[in-house]
Parts: sequence; structure tokens; C-alpha cells
Amino acid sequence: MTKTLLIIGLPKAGKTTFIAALWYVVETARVPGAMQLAKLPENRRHLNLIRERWVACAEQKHTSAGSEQEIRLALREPNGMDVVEVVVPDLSGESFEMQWSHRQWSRGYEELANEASGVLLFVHPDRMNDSPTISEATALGDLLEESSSSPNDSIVGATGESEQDVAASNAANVEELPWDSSFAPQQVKLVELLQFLTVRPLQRDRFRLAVIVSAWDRAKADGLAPDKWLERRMPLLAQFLKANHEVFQSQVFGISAIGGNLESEADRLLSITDPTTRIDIVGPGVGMHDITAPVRYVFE
Amino acid sequence: MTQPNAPDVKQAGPSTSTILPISLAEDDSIDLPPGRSLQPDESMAISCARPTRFIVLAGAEDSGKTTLLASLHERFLRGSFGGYLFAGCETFLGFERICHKGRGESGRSTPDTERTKRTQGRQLLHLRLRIEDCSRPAQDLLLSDLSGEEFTDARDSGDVTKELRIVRAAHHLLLLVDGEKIANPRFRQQGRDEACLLLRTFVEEGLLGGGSRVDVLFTKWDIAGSPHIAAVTGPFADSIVTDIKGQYGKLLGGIRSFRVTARDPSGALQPATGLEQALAGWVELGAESVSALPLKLVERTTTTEYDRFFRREMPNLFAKGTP
Repeated sequence: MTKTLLIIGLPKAGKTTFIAALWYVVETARVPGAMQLAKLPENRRHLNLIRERWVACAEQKHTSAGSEQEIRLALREPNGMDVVEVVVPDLSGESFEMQWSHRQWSRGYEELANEASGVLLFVHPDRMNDSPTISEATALGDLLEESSSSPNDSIVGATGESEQDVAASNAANVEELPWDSSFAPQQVKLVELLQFLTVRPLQRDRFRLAVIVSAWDRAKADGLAPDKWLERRMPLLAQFLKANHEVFQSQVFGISAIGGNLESEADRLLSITDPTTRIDIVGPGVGMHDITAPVRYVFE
Repeated sequence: MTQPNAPDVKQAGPSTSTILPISLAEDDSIDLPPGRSLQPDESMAISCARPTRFIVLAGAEDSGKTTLLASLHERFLRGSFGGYLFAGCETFLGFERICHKGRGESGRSTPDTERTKRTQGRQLLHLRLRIEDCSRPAQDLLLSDLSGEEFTDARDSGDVTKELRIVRAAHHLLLLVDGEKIANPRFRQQGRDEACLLLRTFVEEGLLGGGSRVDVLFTKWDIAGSPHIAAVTGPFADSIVTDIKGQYGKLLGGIRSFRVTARDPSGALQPATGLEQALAGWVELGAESVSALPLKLVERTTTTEYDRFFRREMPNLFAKGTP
């Protein structure tokens, strides 16, 4: 049995890192309860390359449009005999950005979307771009000003200017920019990508959807469970999923596929003997380090 | 930080895995819905597919029609609103465009809204909302974004008014009274007259009738409702509503009034403040419009996949005789 998994996410959302960690976990079969590889795929060059980078705690190379890879993994449950061939396309974030801005997709993508049993939707907490209004920025500026209201307390920068002076100078110098579709908040773009699957042109009436908040080590600083984090930080997307729950049967996972910050924690991460234990995953009923949980959820 | 011995995918040579035809090529691309504001004939794809409430915003130039629309989008970006969840939108680009001058990305230091020009035609924005407990299906709304000049001309000429068939199609007419004018003694009466004359024009020309629901929206209430003038503007606004109800209460299906701050420059109020109660009426109260929009689409001259899709999937939407 072959099942296709559609992976959707804007650029640098953590899609390739997830696939690298998934490949490592299923192939090594060291994570209790996780799905396992039944048979080595015929072609595994790309998988091994991204795996090597993941193991070495190196940032993944950007997947550019035109260099996307189709990955086929024969998976089975730890004690199971049934083998599911999972097709996981490693798609470029740019191609999704182009769906939003150019209002087109390819025939190949349409075929994939038509066949897909479910979707993994990637959200990155560092790339929220929640497009604050000028009014909100003003209110925040006033708050900051109040907190440093004493002239003696004003923060003086390296040039000798206070922050207020710098802000005023910047405001005066900033040129007004014409509107561009790329300015839209991440959550608006992601909802649109989901609408393309279900409203037009595909009009699929049912999807299993795993929302993956990647770089969870950063997002969890908010102290919220993944579903509550989504409601707080991406309310439009959370509302859309709730209002369309008959179409999108969804569950939210928080995943740190690397386990920490590559810039500041590389030494600590590299000192961990078993790389699978670096994986941090949070979600309903999810076993420790089991990065296959979203895949299993989507195929249930 | 790149590790010294980290393998470099790029240097390792091209993969021999199957390369998916995902990327866009000119001969391989399929058009997706445009996402921009819709012209009335384009909106039929929505209104014929699902029951749709049609809401027309009417008011003089600069009375705040487009800002009010933008504020609805901004508010749903921040969470549910007025007891409703955001359930979908087929005009995201249209909403994003009108929000731009109120956002930090514009580079502006003060918020603004680009005026809707007559040359842009009669535009519609789409929202799909669902009651928060999901006890009822989602409801589609189409909201008009028309140039204020159209309404000024309609107020001044019966012939022009007759052309505003879009008003006849409305389930709800939102009549905007410019709060900034109400706040200024010099323009206070003008603010009242602009709105009241427009409403009278619509009623006398038969664009509104016994099934029409009218919401009188006092916009820019952050200005009109300022503490130093609220003692004057509050009763003045009340008197406008009393007059309108007295004159048209028996002729129309319902008249309500709301004081709205769509965009508070100080940031103290959330976008669309004052519309919380109004929203439920737009979604739930399905008054009959005086007449429907043109019943059939005219075949479009473009041959995009999007147009072909509708021609193929919904042939009944098109006028007889079109190929």
C-alpha cells in the first residue's frame, strides 16, 4: 500500500530538517514505539546527505525550486508486518511562496495534492511576520518610552544618540513602500495554501492534517502546549482549522528536530551520543523522541 | 554555525532521486484563484455555490468604508470576533492590499488607507465566518468596497442612483456617518446630511424596501467620542438615529446603529471596535434583498484555467448562448 504525504511550509520552516531526522529515526529503529524502516529505499542519496548534516548539527541547505526530491520510505510499526510505502516529497518553500504570490501551481504538485492521504503543515516560530499595525507599534513605543521616562534613564547608543532620537530619526528617514503580496503574515499565506486544497481548485472534502511547530525549543518558551501556542500566536490559522474541522482533522505537534539552537548550543548537541535523543516532540499521546508520530497520525 | 567537517549537500553533486515536477514552468502551470477583490460578476461563483449574505457599505468620500473593511481583516488576524470564527476568505490579496498603509511594513509613521477610486470599479471582498461553537455551518459574506464618489453622485442625481443596482442586492446596507465631521461644529450638519440624503435617495428610488436592513455606523468614534466633545456628539448621533427611525422605520426591514472605531491611531482599542454586536446581524439575519444580482455570468474573455474551471464545472452560472 502506498500513501502520499504532502508537506507544506514556507521557506526555512524546518521541512528538510524534519525529513532528515525522520529518516535517521526510522532507519536506526532506536526510538521505542516509533515506526521503522522495512526496506532500504532504492535511491537514498538525498536522504543520506541531509541525514549527515542533521547528525553533524549543521544547518540544512536551502531546498530551491527545481531541486525538489521525491522520497519513498517503506515503513512498518515496530511489531507489525504490514508495510506502508510513504511518499514524502521534500518541496521547496519557495514553490509555496510562489503559489501565494504568483497564483499558480504545477501539474505535478496538483497530482501530489490529489493523491495525498494527509498533510504535514510546518510553522516556524522565528518567522511569524505577524505584520503589526502602525497603531500597535505606536502603543508599544509609548509603553517603552514610559518605562524609560526619566531622562537620566534613557539608553544611549554607541553613537551617543538616545533610542528615542534614533527611532525619531529612523521614522523620518523611512521611505514609504508600495504594497507587495510578500508582506502578508505567515498565517494568511498558510491558510491560503490550505484553501487551495479544499475550496479551489481541488475541492478535497477531507484531510488529516498535522500542524508541526518546528524549532519547538524556542516556541516552548511561551509555556504553552502546541495547540494553545497556535491559538495564541497564529490565531487566524487556529480559527480556520476549528471552523473547518469537518474538512481538516488536525492535531498540533511541537517538534525540535535538532534539539536546540545550532548557533549557541552546537557543542552540547554534538556531545549527545545518540542523536535520536536530541529530538524533542510534544503532542497528544506522543512517545519521547518519536518523530514518526505526526506521520502515523496523518495515516491513521 | 557550520561545523568544520559538516557534509555539504551542494558539493556532493546532484541527487539521482526522482526530481518532482513541482517547480513552476510556463507550460506546466495551473492557475489558482486570483485572491484579489472581486468584480460583482466574478462573485457569482461564491454566491451561487453557497448561501451568501451581501453587505453594501455606503457613505461619502473619506467616511471610512475601506478602513472599516480593513479593520475586520485585522481583527480576525488577532482572534475570533463578535462570537465568530474566521472560516475562509477568497479575497486575501484584496484585504492585504487595503491593510497595507496601516501596517509597519509600509514604512509610514501614521496609519492611512488608500482611497478606493472610481476607476477600480465596484469591488467585493469575501469573508466566511462560523459561529464560535460551530453549532451551525459557516456563512459567506460579500462586502462591497465602492468609491465614495459613486455615492456622492448618487445623492445628487436620480439617474445615477438607478445605476447603483448593487444596493438593491444588499441583505444589509451599512450607512456610514463620518464621525470626524460630527466632531467638528463646522462640518457636523454636513456629516448628518450626507448620510440622511443618501438613505432618502435609496428609499425613494426603490433600491431599499421592506426587506432591507440598515445599520447606521458612526465611524471614527475615537474622534467623535473624545471626552471633551462626547456630551455634544453623543446626543447628536442619537438624534440622527431617531430621525432615521422616524422617517424610515416603517419602510425598511430594520434599523440599528453602532459607534465604531475601526482603527485607533493610539493603539489603545482593538481594530473594528464597536462592530462586535453588528456582526451577528450580518451573519444571521438573512433579510431578503430587493432584488438579486445579475442572474447569469457573462463569459469572460480571458482563458485562464480558473475561468475554464468555472465554465466547465458550473455551466448553469453562464448566460445562455455563451460558448
